[in-house]
Amino acid sequence: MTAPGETVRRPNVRAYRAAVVSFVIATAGGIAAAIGYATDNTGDLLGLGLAAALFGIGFGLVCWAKYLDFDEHAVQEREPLVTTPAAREELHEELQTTGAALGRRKLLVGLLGVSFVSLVVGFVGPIGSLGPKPRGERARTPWRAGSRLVSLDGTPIELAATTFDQLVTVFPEGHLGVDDSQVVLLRMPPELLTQRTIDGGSLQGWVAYSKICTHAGCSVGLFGVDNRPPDTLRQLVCPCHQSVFDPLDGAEPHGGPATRSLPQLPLDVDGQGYLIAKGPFDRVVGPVAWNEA
Amino acid sequence: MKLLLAAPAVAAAVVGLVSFGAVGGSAAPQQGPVDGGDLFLAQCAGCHGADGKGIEGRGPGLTDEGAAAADFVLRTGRMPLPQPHMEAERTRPRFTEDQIVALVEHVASFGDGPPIPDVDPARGDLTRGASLYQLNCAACHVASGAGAAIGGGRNAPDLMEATATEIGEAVRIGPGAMPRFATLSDRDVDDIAAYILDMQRRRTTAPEDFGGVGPVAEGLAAWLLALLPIIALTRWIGRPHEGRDAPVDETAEAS
Amino acid sequence: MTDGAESAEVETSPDAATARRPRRGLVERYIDSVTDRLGADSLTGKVLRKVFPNHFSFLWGEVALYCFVVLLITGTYLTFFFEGSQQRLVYHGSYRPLEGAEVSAAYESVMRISYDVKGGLLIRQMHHWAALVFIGAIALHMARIFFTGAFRRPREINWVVGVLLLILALAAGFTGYSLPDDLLSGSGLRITQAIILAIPFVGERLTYLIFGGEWPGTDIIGRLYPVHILLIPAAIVALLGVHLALVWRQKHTQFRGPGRTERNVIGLRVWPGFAIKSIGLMFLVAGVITAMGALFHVNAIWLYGPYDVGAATSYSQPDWYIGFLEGSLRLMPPWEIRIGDFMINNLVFSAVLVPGVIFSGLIVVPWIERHFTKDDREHHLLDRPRDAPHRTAAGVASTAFVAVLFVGGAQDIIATTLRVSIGHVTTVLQITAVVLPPIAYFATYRICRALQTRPGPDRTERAGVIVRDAGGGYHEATEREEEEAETAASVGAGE
Repeated sequence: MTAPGETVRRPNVRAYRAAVVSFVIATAGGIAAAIGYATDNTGDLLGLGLAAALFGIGFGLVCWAKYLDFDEHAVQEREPLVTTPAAREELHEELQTTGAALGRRKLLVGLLGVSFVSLVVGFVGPIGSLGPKPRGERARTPWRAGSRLVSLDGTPIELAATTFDQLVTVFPEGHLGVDDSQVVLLRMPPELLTQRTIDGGSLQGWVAYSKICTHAGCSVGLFGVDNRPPDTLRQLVCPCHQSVFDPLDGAEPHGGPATRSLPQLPLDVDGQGYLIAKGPFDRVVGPVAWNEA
Repeated sequence: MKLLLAAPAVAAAVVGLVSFGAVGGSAAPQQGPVDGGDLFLAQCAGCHGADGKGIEGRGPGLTDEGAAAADFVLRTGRMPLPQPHMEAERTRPRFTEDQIVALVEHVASFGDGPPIPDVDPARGDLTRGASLYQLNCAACHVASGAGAAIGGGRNAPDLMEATATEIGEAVRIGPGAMPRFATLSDRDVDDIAAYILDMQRRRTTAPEDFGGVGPVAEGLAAWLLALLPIIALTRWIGRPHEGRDAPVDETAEAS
Repeated sequence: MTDGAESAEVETSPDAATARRPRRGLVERYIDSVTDRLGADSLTGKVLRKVFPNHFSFLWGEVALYCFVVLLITGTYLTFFFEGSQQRLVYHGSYRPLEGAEVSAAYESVMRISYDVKGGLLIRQMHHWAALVFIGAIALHMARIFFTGAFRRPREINWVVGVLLLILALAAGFTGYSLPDDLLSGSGLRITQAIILAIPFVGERLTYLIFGGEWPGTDIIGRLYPVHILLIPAAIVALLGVHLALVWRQKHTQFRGPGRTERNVIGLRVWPGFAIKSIGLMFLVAGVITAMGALFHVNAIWLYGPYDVGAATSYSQPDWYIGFLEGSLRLMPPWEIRIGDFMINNLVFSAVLVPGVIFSGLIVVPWIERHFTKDDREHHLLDRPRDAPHRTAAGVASTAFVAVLFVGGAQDIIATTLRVSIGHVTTVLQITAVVLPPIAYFATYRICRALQTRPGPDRTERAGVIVRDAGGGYHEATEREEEEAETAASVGAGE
């Protein structure tokens, strides 16, 4: 490589030693990884051994390339990325000839286009099999008049329970775990509820809202309640994007990106003193489509 | 000379620290049997009233708080609160064991509140506990138990120091901004306590888990711990060793 | 065909040829037998001698490439264990808090990889860290291309290919972390479904096609799996091929410097220097990713639990690279447009319009540049960011806006850490998102201009070429005049 007049490189001893040490560490790393696997130490020995092996090889290679043998200062000319006028002419002539040929066969071109469209139309069917046609199922949940409210382990809720500012997630009896029927049931001091909540079907301080956030569908599980004056607090917050709903006022959105209140489930009590739904939700639960304003 | 001057200063500091530490703040050192009533009057009545019925603008009434609430706030150091209307947080308990027992008895006598629950995590079912935690607790306390802001300027605390009894108490009384979970049975509470203690044992908010904060912390780690070193490595790799003054090696590409 | 005389020629010529060729070792003869069949003139001429310029920022694209290699290798290993199905089964594995729990097959398989396959957790964590670093490297690479003007003619096509690669990488990450069907990523899928649902006209039908019906359905994980392991990687590989082929054909850009012109490339030849350094970089990147995988937990799905109806967790963020969308969702004020029974949903603003504007803006960058600079010439020399103050300022302002979105995605974590209310943090960030970009633009512009007038200790001395105009006055040459002078000089030198 050394031509007359070129400077001779000084042997770089430090880099050489560094490369040697790197490769030795790499070798040790691979062996350590194998030992780690064999001795069930799959956290540190296996992982760090592999990391050492990879890192050692990389470090050694770069030292070698950069300091020892392969560094250089090469110059290369760029060929211009232009098309010569002759080639451009030839290309355009080719395009024109093809265009003229197609122009002579207008009927064929037209029929070809129509047949392609028809082919695509033919495929619409199988693509449509990916999912059923929406038939308004989203507007209906399993909640009906008389559906008993039960927690996830099947226990019904007694009207007469005495604890206030409590929270429980409930489903309709017989439909445990059905996504669109998840309801958050709260008991709050009845004198604090607004008329809207009472009209919406609260019962002696028990209020039930759909637990599906009307913003983007997460479960609104966060009930912040502090009844110690003067900083009393009662709010339902969705943990995904921090939409805030006021449970005292029909779950009206008071902060965050949600724009619609949580639908309220009207409540009643059955013969045995357990809470039941008085009727279904009066609108679609959760996030809605463009025509469900 | 300097040592002579320093010695009294050091001695004063040591004495001051020791006395402060022994006293632990505002609680008065007690010898002999503890009188809950006297202690309450001295430490709590200023905000909660001598009869425990509360003082407007300073502290709420304690009539129906019960032993559970008193035990919870005293053992976790939430009370005494340095100022009214602060958000109570876990700190070192300010009272000794005897003082706490006495105060709890006194507060319980005010009314009809819930007793200290009997929580036995050894009886708890870990799988049921995990499922109950996910449904009821994770929304505020985070899946890893790290705790989070819940709106209104309040924070759900991290659960890594909670004892089984404290967990049971919190579920029953709903301290701070926490609601009450009246529909959770005693068995449910055992299960949840078992799970939370298991999380503590597994250190789910350890540094190698980035405090249990989740993808945001992991993303920061990817940038700071991986990408920054990689950028530094590319600086090393990319710079030509001999610089621009290296001998020029003309190499023409065959067109 | 061959008659006796011809075959005689054929028979003798190999001997004659061998007699002429010097004796070579086994490896060299092997290589010769391959190159004789393919023709090696272009190999020695074009390939081995191709020059790549030196600058550390030029390596960031390669960092991304090598992260992708790690993703492919670790990902292939994971596919041997992962079950892409939502079928319910009971967990019986080493992780005690799930013993006896009913979970999906997908979740169970990832738990098995993490707790019961020896070395599985390491590979899984390497895969996840590689994804986090991959997109970061792409972002750095894209920033370098933008701020040095490397996207200008003739590289506009490659820029568009690059933006498409970024979008594919984001899609790969999103589909990938949704595969375990855990509570966190399941919430993310639910949010995605709500966004698609909000699209006017086609939203509901589209969600039914994608999810096989109402949310959650039993199909989505099984459908995301082939998308994640086949469709997206194939598209990435194809576009990467185009991307690299274009760089190869058009040659790499380079910074200005002594001896560097628009007509040459100065640096290292592909073989041996560049290739060996590059291979070394690959091992180093892989080493860093492996170390992360060995030392830190990531995506602890056992803590989130399986995706269950009614459950949610706080600190509910997606992986960092989707953070801009998360911030848009959280910071968007509760705007909706209602006309009778119809509405443009809040999600359309935050999750369709905002990302739509960001990515379309990215794609048309070369044409926006051309519109404002009226510059249609070929550029192979890079700008220092300060030399194009408007472009740099626009880039910094846009980055500032996107950065505020990223910060907004973590607004609840900020609120917890600083002990302030979430509402306050949100309001401050909303204001910042509007106010910061113009301030950033102005400040960056001024800084660039200030740096321009200072002679730098940098590689390119701003030599201050003085030009005399027709009226007789002197002024400092603009960039265009400088380049014309340079071209004239090199033409004059007789190229």
